[in-house]
Amino acid sequence: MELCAIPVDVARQRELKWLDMFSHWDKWLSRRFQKVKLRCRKGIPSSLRAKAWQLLSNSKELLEQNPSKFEELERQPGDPKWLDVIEKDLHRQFPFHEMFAARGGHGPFPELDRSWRPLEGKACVPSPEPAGPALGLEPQAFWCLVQICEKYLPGYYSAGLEAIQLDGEIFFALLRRASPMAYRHLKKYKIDPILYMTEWFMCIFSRTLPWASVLRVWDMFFCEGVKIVFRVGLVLLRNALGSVDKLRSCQGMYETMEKLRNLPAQSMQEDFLIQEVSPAPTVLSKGLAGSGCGRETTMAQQGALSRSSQSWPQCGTRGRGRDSAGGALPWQSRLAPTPEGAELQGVSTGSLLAVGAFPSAAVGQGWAKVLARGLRWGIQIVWRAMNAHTIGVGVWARGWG
Amino acid sequence: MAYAYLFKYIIIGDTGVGKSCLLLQFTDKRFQPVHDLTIGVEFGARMITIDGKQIKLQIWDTAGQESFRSITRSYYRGAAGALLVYDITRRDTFNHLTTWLEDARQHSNSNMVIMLIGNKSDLESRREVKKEEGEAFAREHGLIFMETSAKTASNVEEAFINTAKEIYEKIQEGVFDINNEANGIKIGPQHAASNATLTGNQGGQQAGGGCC
Repeated sequence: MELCAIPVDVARQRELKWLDMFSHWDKWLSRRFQKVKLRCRKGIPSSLRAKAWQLLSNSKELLEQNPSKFEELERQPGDPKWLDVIEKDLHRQFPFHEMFAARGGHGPFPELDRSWRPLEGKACVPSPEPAGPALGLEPQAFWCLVQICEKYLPGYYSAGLEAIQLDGEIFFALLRRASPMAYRHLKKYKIDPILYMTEWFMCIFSRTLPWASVLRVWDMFFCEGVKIVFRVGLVLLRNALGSVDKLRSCQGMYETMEKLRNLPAQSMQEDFLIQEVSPAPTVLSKGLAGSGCGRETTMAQQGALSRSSQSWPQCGTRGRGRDSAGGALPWQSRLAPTPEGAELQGVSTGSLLAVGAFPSAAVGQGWAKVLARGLRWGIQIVWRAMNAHTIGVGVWARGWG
Repeated sequence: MAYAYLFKYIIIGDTGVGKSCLLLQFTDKRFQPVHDLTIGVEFGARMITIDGKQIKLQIWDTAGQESFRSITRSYYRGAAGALLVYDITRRDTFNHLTTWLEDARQHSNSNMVIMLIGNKSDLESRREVKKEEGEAFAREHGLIFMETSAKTASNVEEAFINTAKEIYEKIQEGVFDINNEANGIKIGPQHAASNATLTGNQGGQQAGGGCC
């Protein structure tokens, strides 16, 4: 879909390149990661996106290691307490979704009375939705979701939202370098990061950006991790509040918040945004150079990162070390094992699934929109009902067109 | 648009009680049964008139979910009024009021006016919480009380406006220091100058008189 603007032969070439990478995935990842990263930044061909996201997130491997786990969980009964919450949110989020509409739209969802059980002794995972075969949740989606919650954004959905608040502070500190003007403005009106970045980060911009941009951001996110989320946020702020001219219309806290809720369309447009987030080395803004967010330890370990990423303040490397169970994620393969997040940020590194609470539904709601837009090929992001200890989102990675 | 005062409100209460719907009904005069779940905080604003004065209400609509509670707390800061909402068709949302109230009292300024709202009054057949119970709770905790329906718009205007009246009265009585924005009250730009000279004497009462 997003390749429309690209000539057919170029699109075809890209597909072939990706198919070639698929066939030697491990080699590509370990030896030519820079190239993989570059290709993710260029955008994964939509026909291959589903598979690419699975490979990038390692969820494919997890699925293979736990072939029947998903089905097993599906058969278990649920905790009524959380089913109640889930029901409340489903009602508000999927009024028109065929999966739920089939049951009479806003009515209760008895099928949800399924299972929630500890996963690997520490986590509770959601029961899959037994109904709705056409859009039914796939194990692929489930494991992709597990990876997002546990590896990409650990702690983001946990009770108290400490990880979000912490990243909010880091984000704000980075803004000081990325756009001093926006930084001073937000500071002047005492607009805390959590007021605007919570939704951005928790939903990985799926409630914010236009669809084509969401896909491109997620392509990079699956490859490079949370730093992409930071960068996109910085770009958006810079384009909304980064000059005297732009600030003229938002003198005041409320006015500024309005502006952040209605970001300039151009700044969210796919080509513009991606170019800003991932610029060619020559057009890098000097203002973005350097590190400066207290993550030097990990930064030092990232010597292999590309020039363009060095041009950004180091974003989002907290506690995202190599993990034996799920395997290292792509960008982590460039890292030496890092200290656990707990030591770095003072929050539990227990998996998200272990500590998660329920903004889940909200997150899922954004992602559900992505679903609602419907891609014929590619990734379907599906809200997943989960209990208090999980995020309510499933990522369904499968071409179904 | 010019205003004499700006009041900051916050809407709190369990998830699904209709906080965002109340806000939408008040600011846009419409009811949208299906809407985005609130993540973090949403905003709304509307101008009302009290005692011939333009008052701008700036309303912060919060996420009701438990895990957002810790960040919701930071929104109490500098609120002049709070709408504490429960759902009359869900007893549990009423039972949680005490916790909400504790949170509100603990993190807001002591003069914050709190309005207790039993929402969804249109769903009489599914009522689980009697009106008298709401009234009793409000009496016991010194709150103003009202039952509303964001769907039919019943009492929605009144809820927001009565809260504003209460705040306005407190200003008149000099309870609020209107020069301290931490109280959730801001003097309108064109009024600030005239007020500045007055507030030295006796705060609110004269500030009100100064606005014309």
